[in-house]
Amino acid sequence: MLSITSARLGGILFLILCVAYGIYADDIHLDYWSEQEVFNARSMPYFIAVVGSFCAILLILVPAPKTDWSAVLNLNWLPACLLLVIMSGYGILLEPLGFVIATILLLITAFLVLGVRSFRAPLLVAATIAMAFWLLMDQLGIYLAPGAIPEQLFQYLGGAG
Amino acid sequence: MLDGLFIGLQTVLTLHNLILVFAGCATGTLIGMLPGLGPITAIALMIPITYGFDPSSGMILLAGVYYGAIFGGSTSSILINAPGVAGTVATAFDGYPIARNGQPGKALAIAAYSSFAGGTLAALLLAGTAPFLADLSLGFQSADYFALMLLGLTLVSAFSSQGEYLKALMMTCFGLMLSTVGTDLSAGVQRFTFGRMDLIDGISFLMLAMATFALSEAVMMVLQSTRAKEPTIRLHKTSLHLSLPELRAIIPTVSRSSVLGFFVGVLPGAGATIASFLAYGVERNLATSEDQKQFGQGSIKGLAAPEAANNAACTGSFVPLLTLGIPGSGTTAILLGALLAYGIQPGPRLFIDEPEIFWSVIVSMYFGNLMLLVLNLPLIPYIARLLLVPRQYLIPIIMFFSLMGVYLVSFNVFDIQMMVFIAICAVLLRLLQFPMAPLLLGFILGGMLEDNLRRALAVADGQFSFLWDRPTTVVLMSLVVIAILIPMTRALWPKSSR
Repeated sequence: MLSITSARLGGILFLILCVAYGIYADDIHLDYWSEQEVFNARSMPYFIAVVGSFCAILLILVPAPKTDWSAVLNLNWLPACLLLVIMSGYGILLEPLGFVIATILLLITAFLVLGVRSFRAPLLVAATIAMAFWLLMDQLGIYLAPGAIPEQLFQYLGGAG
Repeated sequence: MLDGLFIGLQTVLTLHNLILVFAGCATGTLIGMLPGLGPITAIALMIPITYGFDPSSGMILLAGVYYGAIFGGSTSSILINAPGVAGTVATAFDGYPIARNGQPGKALAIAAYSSFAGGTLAALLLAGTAPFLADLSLGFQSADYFALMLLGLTLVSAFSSQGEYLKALMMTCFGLMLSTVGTDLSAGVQRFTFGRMDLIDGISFLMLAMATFALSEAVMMVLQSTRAKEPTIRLHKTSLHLSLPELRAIIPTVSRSSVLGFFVGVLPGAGATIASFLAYGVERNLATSEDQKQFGQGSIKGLAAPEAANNAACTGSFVPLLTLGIPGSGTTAILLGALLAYGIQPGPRLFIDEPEIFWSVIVSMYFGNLMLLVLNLPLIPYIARLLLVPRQYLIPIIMFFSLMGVYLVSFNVFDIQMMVFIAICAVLLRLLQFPMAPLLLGFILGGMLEDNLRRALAVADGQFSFLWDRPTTVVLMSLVVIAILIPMTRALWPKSSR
């Protein structure tokens, strides 16, 4: 029975990827003339899929040093995963909230997730970075949109005023 | 050659470009000093800024960042025993003990002088060999380029650390796979876009570099933050002075290591890590039995050798990039990506068509090393304070600049989501101990490899005879076979090869 090492696990994942890649290569649309050519848009993907699958099989079969999975499991998973969620959230909120607000939120939440205990220092650092970066970009002529929600809010406040 | 050097000097010796060299060195040092963040991350973070410059200025800045990051990596190796990159691991062997013995200034000075000497000697060797190689490679045809790129890809895997050959090869294939995403320019058909408009232009190399190096590194820092850290050595009132006998002792070491480092660096895939370990090993073997005992305990030769070699190797790695358009390492792969983004095609024609870029990069290397010595070294006690900034603040700031670096190029939030997805994959692969540099190299070379293969086949009427029609191609393909077979044999039968 083969034990699961990092190389073997990687090999299995890559084998699945290479097979899926090879299957999807079939979906590349070719016209009649391209299909007759020795080398067309599908050739390179087929070649990569075959070589990749061969390497993945070797990775699975070749003996490799045992992996200490407990060390991997004992890593700081929670803050790392939260950071990834925060970054993804930044991508979602950047357009509706605008650069400044979304950036302040990104930085503050990341500081807090990483263990900063007070709220004042992170707010100050985040606001300084966001405003300084926005001003720098403004000076360089790069427009960073204020965001749909703040824009509507300004319009509403302007209209009410 | 003298005309070329003159062109390079003319380009570099303007106030604007000298400021860029200094800014590059200082920024590179700052980023490279942070454990885990090496030259690839530093350059990736700086590329978006260079889009506003002309190509020569952009490359001058990035070359400065490269040197600064290597120097910064040595600084963190010496002061906190945490090498920023693999290339400075050997620096920590003797650099950290010297610093712990109460002489951190001396350790940093040895590192800086050795790096300067290594970089300068290598820049001279580069200036001498690059035009010759560029001339030689002018006769290269598509078939030779195809074989050369294949050699570059296989050598990167072949020079990976022991037991990692198959993993490196696998990552190269993964990089090649990612390079096929987008529109195939020769046929005009979409490949692996899954109907998404955002993927029609393919995956941006900057996004891939940022996600696989800068972002994944930030996440890895968080994942591994529970590990015990060595104490940081403070640099208050430290002396950067070296005595004459100490200088005399390291001069032969630095000279040997620089030449060795340069030629190791020229080999695609070998790079600074192998050069620094090799130089360290050579010096230890050459040392007297008395001196040998000092190695690992704070030997100045043990510090000077890897420092001179890794800097010389960095310069050496520019030879295949500038003369053949083939990146020999992850860092030069990203520099190649930057050149392509400026609309410049590196290769033998660069020497003829864009001599000011070719020579200004070479000359800026020398000035970069000079800046590091004259300006950065005295500033180190202040720059090193960055090591005291809490990680809780540093990591989110790195994350922000990585995300912004990519967003400001495309203004497409899809790129941010894509980056996060790639970063997750990269973190998982790092945990499974898969190297990242071959991925980047496979990605950068993938398009060119396919293009040259297509052209070679077209010239040979669809026959694969182009592989043995020309002597150059035959020699290169033979090297490819050797580069595959030797490490493959070792990987498959590890015990019998010992």
